[in-house]
Amino acid sequence: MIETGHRPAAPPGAKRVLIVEDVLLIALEMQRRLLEAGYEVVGPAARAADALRLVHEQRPDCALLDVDLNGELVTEVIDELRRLRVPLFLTTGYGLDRLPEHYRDVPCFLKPIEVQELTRTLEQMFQARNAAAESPEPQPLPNDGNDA
Amino acid sequence: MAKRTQREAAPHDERRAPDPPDAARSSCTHRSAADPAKPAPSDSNATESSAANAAARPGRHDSASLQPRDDAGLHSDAALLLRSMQIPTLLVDRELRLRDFTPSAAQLFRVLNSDIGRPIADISGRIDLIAVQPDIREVLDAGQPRESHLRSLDGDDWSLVRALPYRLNQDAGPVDAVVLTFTDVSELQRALEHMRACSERFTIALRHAPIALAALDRDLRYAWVYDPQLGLWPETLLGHTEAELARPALSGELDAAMQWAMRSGQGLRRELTFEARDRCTCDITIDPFYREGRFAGLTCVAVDRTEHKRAAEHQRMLMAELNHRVKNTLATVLSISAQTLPDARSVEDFRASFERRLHAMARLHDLLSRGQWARTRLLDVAEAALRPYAAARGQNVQISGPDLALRSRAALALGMVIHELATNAAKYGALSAADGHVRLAWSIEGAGAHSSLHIEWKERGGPVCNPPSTDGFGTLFIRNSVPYELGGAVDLNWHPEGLECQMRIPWREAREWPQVEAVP
Repeated sequence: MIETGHRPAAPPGAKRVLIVEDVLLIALEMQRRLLEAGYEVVGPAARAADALRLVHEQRPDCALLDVDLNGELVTEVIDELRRLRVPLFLTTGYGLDRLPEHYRDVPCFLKPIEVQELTRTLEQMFQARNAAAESPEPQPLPNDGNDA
Repeated sequence: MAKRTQREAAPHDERRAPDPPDAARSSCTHRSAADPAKPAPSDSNATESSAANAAARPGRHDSASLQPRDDAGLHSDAALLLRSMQIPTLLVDRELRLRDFTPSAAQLFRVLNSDIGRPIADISGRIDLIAVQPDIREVLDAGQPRESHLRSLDGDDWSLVRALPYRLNQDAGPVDAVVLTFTDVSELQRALEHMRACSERFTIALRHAPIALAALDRDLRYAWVYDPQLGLWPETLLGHTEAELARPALSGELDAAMQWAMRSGQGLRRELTFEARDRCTCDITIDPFYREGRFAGLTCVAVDRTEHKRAAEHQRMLMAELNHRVKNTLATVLSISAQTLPDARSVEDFRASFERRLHAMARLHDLLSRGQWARTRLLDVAEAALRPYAAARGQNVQISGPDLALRSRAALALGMVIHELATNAAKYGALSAADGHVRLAWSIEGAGAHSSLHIEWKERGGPVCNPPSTDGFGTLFIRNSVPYELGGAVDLNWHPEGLECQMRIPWREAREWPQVEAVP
């Protein structure tokens, strides 16, 4: 977490979202908007190594990953989140064609990210997962990037 | 027959010498041999030389005569035939003297009957007969015909000069004389020269073009190759098929394409990558060709596309990079606007801060693009950030440090940090006072992998410095940018005498990157 000086406290039981983004200003803005929307923020992390450490230490409920971390692809983090079945979204300026084929079905937000679309998507995803968890009948998981 | 001969011969009467007596018929060769040093008759003494020629040409229609005579049946027919063929012909004896000539020889040489007996070296005309003399001697010695191409003396025309042995005994014996025939081959020669020039131009052009050519026969054996650059078709392939060569990673595909072109009778184009001098990608075009309706072979053209492919890949990468930067920049601008808003006391205040930050970014982007997004000088970055504040008063800003080149993300981050420091100094710090000044200095500390870039910002001479009650965007950015984006450390101190900021950045994170290489 980057100390911004004026951030609202996350409500108790808030979902924790990992932000992986190499540009400070973009990370700050995402953090601010997610806090405003009632999420707790894990990170942000600018490097894959920091992101992996946060994944293991803090077990986020969801992750937003910038595809390109200063020239380094974020695939290692995707692999680990998939292994742990943590839902994830990618963020990118230009699309996923630099990623290997089997990562390209991960849901993706194009930069600059429209915050309302992001928060609405997160909300729907968490609702669907809650519904699936509470339902006596096993239901297919929504497309959260883990089923590739 | 005789009548026609007479009429035909009439125009040549003026240069016809009186016929020699039949008794002298067999004396020709002996006479020539007996009188080798006979001086050439001069043109001005035509009557005298005619008389001399008459004496010198005994019985020539029996032995070595080319001119139609109106007094003899069979020989006149043969001579007329010669004349009708319109082939300029000279008869030259063993002493290289003119013994006779056909009327059409006058097209090429200034010859009169009176010239008979003169050395051919003295006969002028459009062709230099001296140049023919070696051939004549060779024919006289060896008894075999010779041919040569001679350019006319005026340079316009070419003649095929045939030197043929002339024997009195038809099949054997010494060569008594040499028949020279002159055939105009100017057209042929010009066509040949044109072809030669074309071929030469073609060869020169190809030598500098990334192109290789090959021709295969009907059995798909290499019959001809031209490959000065690519290394696809060396001459060692000649006589072999691609299948029997079995070149790894090449023959299979190439042979399949050749077989297909042969079977289908259609041309085809393939892209082929192979290991030659360098890894090489070619566009190969294969076309069948036919002789008299039957498959006769293949022609193959290979054009090196390696550079083109690399350039296309490089361009694709640059476009992706540009897109990435544009989108990141837009996201950053949105973020700056959102982060600037909470600090603003009014719309005007917001607009001023926002615009200042955007202009600072724009100046940095100018620098980055000048360094092709690979290397940007720290000095330029510092000057770009401080220029708006240093311009008014000369000595209030001091910048010092070694000349260092930064990679783009380090240049962007440091540029924006220095901009925020300068803005803050202009609002509240040393640059807001008449006597205030700022010192920005940097150095590299340590060596090798663990060396770091140390940057120091020191304000003096401004109003008494107090830490702000709340951190605004500027302070937030100064504190976090270098640690977050460059893995460095920042120490921000509000000394009463002035603000101080120390930054330490791992040099490997900040230093320039090698130029972007387009490696496929």
